[in-house]
Order: sequence, then C-alpha cells, then structure tokens
Amino acid sequence: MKSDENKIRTLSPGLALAFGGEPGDTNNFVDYVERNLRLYQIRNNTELLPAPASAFIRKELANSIRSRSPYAVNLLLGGYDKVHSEAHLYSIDLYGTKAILPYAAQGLGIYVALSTMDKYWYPEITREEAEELLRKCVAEVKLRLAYQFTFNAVVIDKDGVKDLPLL
Amino acid sequence: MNGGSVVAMIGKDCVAIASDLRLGSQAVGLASNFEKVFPVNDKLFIGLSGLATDTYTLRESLRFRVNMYRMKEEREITPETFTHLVSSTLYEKRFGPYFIEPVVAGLPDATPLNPNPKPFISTMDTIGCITTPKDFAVAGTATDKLYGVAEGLWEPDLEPEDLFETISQTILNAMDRDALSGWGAVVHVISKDKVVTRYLRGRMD
Repeated sequence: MKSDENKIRTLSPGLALAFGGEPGDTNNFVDYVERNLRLYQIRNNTELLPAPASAFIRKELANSIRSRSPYAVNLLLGGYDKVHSEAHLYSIDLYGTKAILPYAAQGLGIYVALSTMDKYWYPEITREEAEELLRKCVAEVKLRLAYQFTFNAVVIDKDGVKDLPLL
Repeated sequence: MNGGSVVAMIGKDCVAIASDLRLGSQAVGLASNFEKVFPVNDKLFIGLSGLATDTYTLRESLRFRVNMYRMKEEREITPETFTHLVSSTLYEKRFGPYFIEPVVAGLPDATPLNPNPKPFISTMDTIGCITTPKDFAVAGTATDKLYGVAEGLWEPDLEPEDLFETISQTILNAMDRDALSGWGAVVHVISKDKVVTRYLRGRMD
C-alpha cells in the first residue's frame, strides 16, 4: 500500500522509537508511550532516561500480552543518557521481551541485517563507520528481499535526535 | 521460545547456581548477555529460565515482595521461606501461568534454632509445585541434557572450587547439545563468607 511510511518516532530530546507490527496497534501504542513520557516530564520536570523508559515500555507490553486485546508491536528503542553520557539500544518485542544490545534488527530484513552487523560490527566502532554499516544493512536488505521499500533513519547523540540521510 | 537453562548444585557448606546467557527468538539468537540468575540477598539467588518476558516480570514482582518482607520482618528472607514465596507467586497465576521454571539456591544463616544449616536448593514447575533435591536442580530447554551430565559429574561434599568446576562443565557440555541454550554462561558459587561470580565463554554457534 505504501512503501515510505515513517516508522520512527522521536519521544523526547534524547529518545527515539522505531516500531513495526500490526499497523493500527503500532501508532496507537507509540502515541500512548509518547504522551505518557511527556506527562512524566511535565509532572517531574525531568525527562525519563533511556533505561527507565525501556522498563516502562516493556511493562506496558508485558501487561498487554496477557490482556484481552494485546498490542502486536515490536520496538527498537534508542536513547542517549545525558546523566551518564552513554548511548543505549533496546529491542522490545510484542511479548515484552527486552534485550539490551549493541546492534539490533527487526522485521522482514532481520536475518540479512543481523548477519551483516554480525560480520562488520566491532566494539570500538566509530560513529562514521556505524552510519556506513547501517547503509550497508539497508543496501543488503534492498538487494536480497523481494519486497521493495524505502528506509529512513535517525541518529541520537548528546545534541538530540537528527535525521540521518541514507544515500 | 526464547531458550535458556539454569542449574544449581550443592557442595560442602556451599552452593552454586549457573545459567546460560542466550536470549533468542525461536532459532535466531538475539543477545548473549541475558542472565537468568538474580541475587535475592547476599547468600540467596534465584534462576528464572523460560519465557524471557516472564523472567523480567517475575524478577520484578519477586523483588517487590522480598523488599516488602524485609521491611515488615526487619530480617533477610531464608531460602526455605523464599521458595514458598516464589511458589505462591506462581500459583496465584494457576490458570494462566508464568512460563517459568525457577531454581532457588542459597546458604541459610545460622540461627539459635538451627545452628548448623545445610546448603539449600529447590526448584518448581510453572505453577509452583516445589521439589527440594539433595544434590542438584536443573531447569530450562536443556533440562534433559543437564540431568545426564550432572548425574555423571556431581559427587557429594565438593569444596567451592571443585563445585565450580563441576557445575561449569555440566552447563557447558549440556548447552553444546542444546540449540536453544548457550552463548556463554554465568556461575555463582555461594560459600559462607563470599560469593564468587564468574563468566564462562562458550561456543558461539
């Protein structure tokens, strides 16, 4: 139906959420998370850091899966923790399984993207190399999958969330 | 669905508990840093193997209950009491269970009533039916393999260092025969005055 839907939402100045799954559920759930994180910010006058934000999102999904109408949403949560000066990446699936990872992928291209990153990622990878690796993954997915769709990407650092041009 | 295994063993005045580090989604390995063993207090650990989302959920709800116990009773929970706490937590969800098989391992403190406490391990099924073995307890996707290796390697009254070697070889060799467990392991050896935690490298395939 559409091959260029934006599936990344900026939640706060240091936090972005990429999502996939059942189309109606995804936007609804991400809206809910976004508004609740905003409510926390207004009430406490401080942003929720990536780690507690991931715990909140995980718990919402873990409760949802055992409810009458579960959300079918898979998420990648990226964030920069300004207090500890650390970057965080979480992969959270529809069951509420949270993985804390250096690199992650979800969706149709998971095998291709994970294999590419297994081969080229290393612990001391620089920002430029990491961006290049992301482009490599996208190129590999486009080459090897029958479905054609376009990608968009963001980079999160101490200055916030910015769009990353892929080509 | 996510894979993973836990094993606990009794030694001479010590206990050991170990888990693998894999988190998977069916056959795909997602993470190699997913520990399934958590400290409850200084001398008590619990391993939660099974559905990964329930590993998190149950860890958090047990953390809450143990903290409440500690505040109300103003003392640390004993392994026996904790086992029953876990059991009733699981049975609360009798008709929609947490998909977790817990393994508890701890060294009870000496009390006037019980001056020479024995090392304690216990395990439960998904709805909280307790078993308290005198040798070792296993759980997870490599259960049958762990039983086989542990049955062959374990002997009574192992010293902490020998117990570490026994439990490490048990989990490493059982993991290698199980596709859903592996990617390294973590071992905690609890003895009277200290807990030694070691990370083992395993086959990454």
